Amino acid sequence: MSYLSRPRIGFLATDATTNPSTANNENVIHFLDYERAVLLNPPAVESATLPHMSHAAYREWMTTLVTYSNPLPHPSNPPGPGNEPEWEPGMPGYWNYWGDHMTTWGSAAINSLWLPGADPVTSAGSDSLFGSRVVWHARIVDVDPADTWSTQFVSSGFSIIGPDASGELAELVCGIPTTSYTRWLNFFRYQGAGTFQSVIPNDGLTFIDNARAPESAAFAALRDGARAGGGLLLRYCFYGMKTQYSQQSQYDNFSAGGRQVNPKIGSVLGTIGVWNGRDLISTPVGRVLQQPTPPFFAPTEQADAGSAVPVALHVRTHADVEQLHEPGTHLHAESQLLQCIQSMGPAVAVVEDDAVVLDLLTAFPESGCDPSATGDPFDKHDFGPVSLELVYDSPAGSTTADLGPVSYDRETYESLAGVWEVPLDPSSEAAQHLRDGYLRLRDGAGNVLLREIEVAQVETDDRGIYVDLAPPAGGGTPTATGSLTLRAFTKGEPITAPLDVQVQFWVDVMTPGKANSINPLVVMACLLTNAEDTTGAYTVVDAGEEPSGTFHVTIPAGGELALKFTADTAGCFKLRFIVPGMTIDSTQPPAFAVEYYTNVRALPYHDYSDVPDEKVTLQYVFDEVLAYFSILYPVMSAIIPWGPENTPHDPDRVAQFAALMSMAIDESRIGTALQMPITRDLSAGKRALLQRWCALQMRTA
Amino acid sequence: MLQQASELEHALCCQYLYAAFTLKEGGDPALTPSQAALTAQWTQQITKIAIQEMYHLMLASNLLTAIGAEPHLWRPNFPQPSRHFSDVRLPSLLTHFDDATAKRFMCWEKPDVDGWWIAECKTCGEQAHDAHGLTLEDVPSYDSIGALYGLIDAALKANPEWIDPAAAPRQLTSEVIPFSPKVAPITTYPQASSYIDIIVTEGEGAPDWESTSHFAYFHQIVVELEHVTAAGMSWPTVANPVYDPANVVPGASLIDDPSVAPIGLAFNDLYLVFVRMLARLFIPDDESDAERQALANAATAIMPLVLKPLGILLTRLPAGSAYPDRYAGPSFELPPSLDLPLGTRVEAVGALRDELAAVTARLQVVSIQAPGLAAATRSELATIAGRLQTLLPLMHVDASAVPS
Repeated sequence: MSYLSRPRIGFLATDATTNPSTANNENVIHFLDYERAVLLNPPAVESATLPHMSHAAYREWMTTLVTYSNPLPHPSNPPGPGNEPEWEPGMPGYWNYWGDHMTTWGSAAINSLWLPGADPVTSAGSDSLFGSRVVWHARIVDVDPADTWSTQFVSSGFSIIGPDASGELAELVCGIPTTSYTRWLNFFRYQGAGTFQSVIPNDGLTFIDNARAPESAAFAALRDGARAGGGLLLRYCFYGMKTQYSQQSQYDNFSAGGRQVNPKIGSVLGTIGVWNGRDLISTPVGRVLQQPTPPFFAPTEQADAGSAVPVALHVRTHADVEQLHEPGTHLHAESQLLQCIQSMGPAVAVVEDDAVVLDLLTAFPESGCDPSATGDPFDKHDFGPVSLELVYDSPAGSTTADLGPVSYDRETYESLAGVWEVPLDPSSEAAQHLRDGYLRLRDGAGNVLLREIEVAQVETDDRGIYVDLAPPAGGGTPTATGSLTLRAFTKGEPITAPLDVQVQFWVDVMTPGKANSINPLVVMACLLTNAEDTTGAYTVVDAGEEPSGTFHVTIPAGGELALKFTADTAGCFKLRFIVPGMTIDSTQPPAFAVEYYTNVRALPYHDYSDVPDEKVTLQYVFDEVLAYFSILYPVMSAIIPWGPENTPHDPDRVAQFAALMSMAIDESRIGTALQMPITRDLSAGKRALLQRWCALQMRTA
Repeated sequence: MLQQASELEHALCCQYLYAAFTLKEGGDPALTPSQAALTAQWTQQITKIAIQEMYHLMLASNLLTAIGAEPHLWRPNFPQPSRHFSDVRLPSLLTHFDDATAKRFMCWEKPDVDGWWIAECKTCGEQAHDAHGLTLEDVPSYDSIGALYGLIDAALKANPEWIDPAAAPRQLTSEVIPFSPKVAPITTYPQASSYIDIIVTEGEGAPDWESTSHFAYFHQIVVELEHVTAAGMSWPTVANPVYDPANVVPGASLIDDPSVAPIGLAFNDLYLVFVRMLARLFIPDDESDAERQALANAATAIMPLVLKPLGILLTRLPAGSAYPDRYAGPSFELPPSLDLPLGTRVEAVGALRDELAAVTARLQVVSIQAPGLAAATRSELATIAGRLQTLLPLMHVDASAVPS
């Protein structure tokens, strides 16, 4: 049984919402020291001097309007006449300062039911589960706040609300999914897209009592399948997510005393199936199909396959993503140079007894990939007829078998949850070669859109690793040790021979923008350049990340390796996994949209153990700990005040929440939706200080 | 008397919260930035007082626990005419924030000494009864709230043996909820008397009623309202909303609009579970300290995370065609009697957890099913349900663990 096996149900919503607080996402003015997890006061802007601000002034400054330039263009298209920076209004708190991080699937409803041996149900009438609502809540948190490759959804709940046996709406299934992580971001789909996966293990999964269970074959199959396996598996894709207000509009609201939120609203499409209890939780495993270009194929493969040379766009930060879809910007203009074939995302194939099941959740781009396209931007780009082919060696030489057509139009995509099944005759010659051949998707013009990778798939469920620096016993440089488990697969199966993996450490490098003016502040985002280059040429070091170390590990046959690493510097890192056969161009930034990696946040070392109890006052704790989060996550003050400045007319109120705060920051809550602070960057030392203050509030004398 | 004190503190808390919920926030229609600053100030001040009333309720419950009684967390539904306090003579009402409401709150907390407020509050009480169709009952049980607490103090002083030190572990102290001022178990009469002093001082403020007492705060608001127009600074809700037809009494406003009524009923379901959770904190059975703390944390979190936003949401929803230009509000309805969650931790806390989960599911269903709701309202309801769902793990009881 695979993650795509039947039974499964599909769902769709066009009002999915994610509402992050964006204060720590701003990429131009640098007011955060990510390494030490502190506010820069004053904020850093190259060639400008900002004043030191009080907490109240700082918070107000977060919602003042400054003027940004867009990120400067790619080095291949340097600034000059006709290619000047574009200016636009923005705020240091960015596009959603009052966001609460809540993410939902909106009014997602079940729109397809897949039972073994039956045609899929794609309309109401035959099964009461059709049309039921799928409810899912999570907090969106970036491991590395400044980049886009480390988003995690820490879920607080999932349920299916549908008619019970009596026809009354009821909660049919509920549970708490595991945390899901960004995988396979595709910025080149309309407004961008990202896929995610998580499971609900049986020990946290509840189905409605049998007496009230609906007369639904799909419900029964899902319930029985979950109970026989490990639980339920959720696989979903957010796409077309867009904010509702400009920063100018936000500023106008804030100026009137408002706290208008500006979530991104768009679509979510996915499936709910059975988890077998063994497969990876956070990412699909199967026969992975990628573009026939680096990093999974050599450059020569492109010519053979008829694909064009890709344009290397430097899309890394949140601002980059915004610009990519903003007509008139440099990044948008450059993205228009891409051909639609270069906007294809990965796919996964799972071979069943009588079908090849294709996960096309984020494979095919929308029509916006073609600058000349008109009409609904959510319609899929028309590649013409697309076929699934199997290429294998036979006595007659290399043979290509056409396994069948693949429908990828918008209606099919939305109504079948991005899954397409290609029937397979088990007795056919092609079926006999499925194991030794490779799969590919080819369009009517003969272009290979996606091709099955021949290198190993290396993944981990440890996709957001937090470690705390601490000095070794006896003193010395603070270090932190983290661990993860790597798993390796070939054609969806655990590897049978040892696999050498190169592990690279990448560190996030942040550079402040350049100021043209101080009043009003006019800031230009600058591309990272080689500091020693005095020629004025835009020599790219990278797009904001630097490799800082490399080591090799060997994953044994069987495909599982527990790995430890040590960090001696606080900050945001990535571990990039490179396997033999990948084509890596060291002059280009990693292609994290498709590559293998995980995120690490090493939190700084703080020690307040010498501070006497009498000094651990609310004001001291606020200054040392809470003020930082008060700036980054202001909406919390509407629920639990961060400190006296949030409730000037009731300055002691925060103390009444000491027990709750102590619980929420307790280590036992890490990784749960109850964990606070929501930004997940409270160091162990600051946690200890805060817990000490909480304990002092809870003394009875 | 302690039961009457508990009902009083509980009722005041609900009235203050209701008014605070109705105050507009920055960005709301027809509210200028300077008005927003004022409403933010008033919201903080009234909420602070409401929290102190809850603190007083917990102290009264500790006193009940100390003398071997059960906590008394039931109270009559709104509206209630004046019953017990001949000098106060005020009804208990759920009304949106305006001049009359602020003045009524000030009079509830008036000092137990002669002053200018005597005549003003007499008029206020009479007008409030008239305005809501209530009959001013003349049953002068006690002159004032201070008098009631004075009698309680005297009774305990005369019978210090009523206080059972063995009941101390069942009392709610700062070790469980970090009250301010700190709360330690009551094991002697002097301790009991000191907490009674705190209640009286925070409320009426005697003898220093001019500085930081509830009366002083409300008086300040009343004075501020003499210089600004309250109209437009709060959402004009119906008075004394009721969602259960069985609870309709003179002066109540039954809301049966199919859009908003399910939300009001869900609020009441949640409020009832919340009250039962508080009650369980005083009647633990075999809970470990950690389990009791988790229950307290869940209760503490429900207030700001769920009850408050749900209450505020109700004050922004039209009350239906029966009440043109009026908005709904949380009615804080309780059943005729309160079933205390007795039994082992597995039975009682497990049942509370199930009740909370049922409310969560109900809110989800309402967010989907209630007709005529705007998309933003549905989204807000779903978000509130999501927050409540987040708290459910706190109520987990490990049945296999050895009881304390």
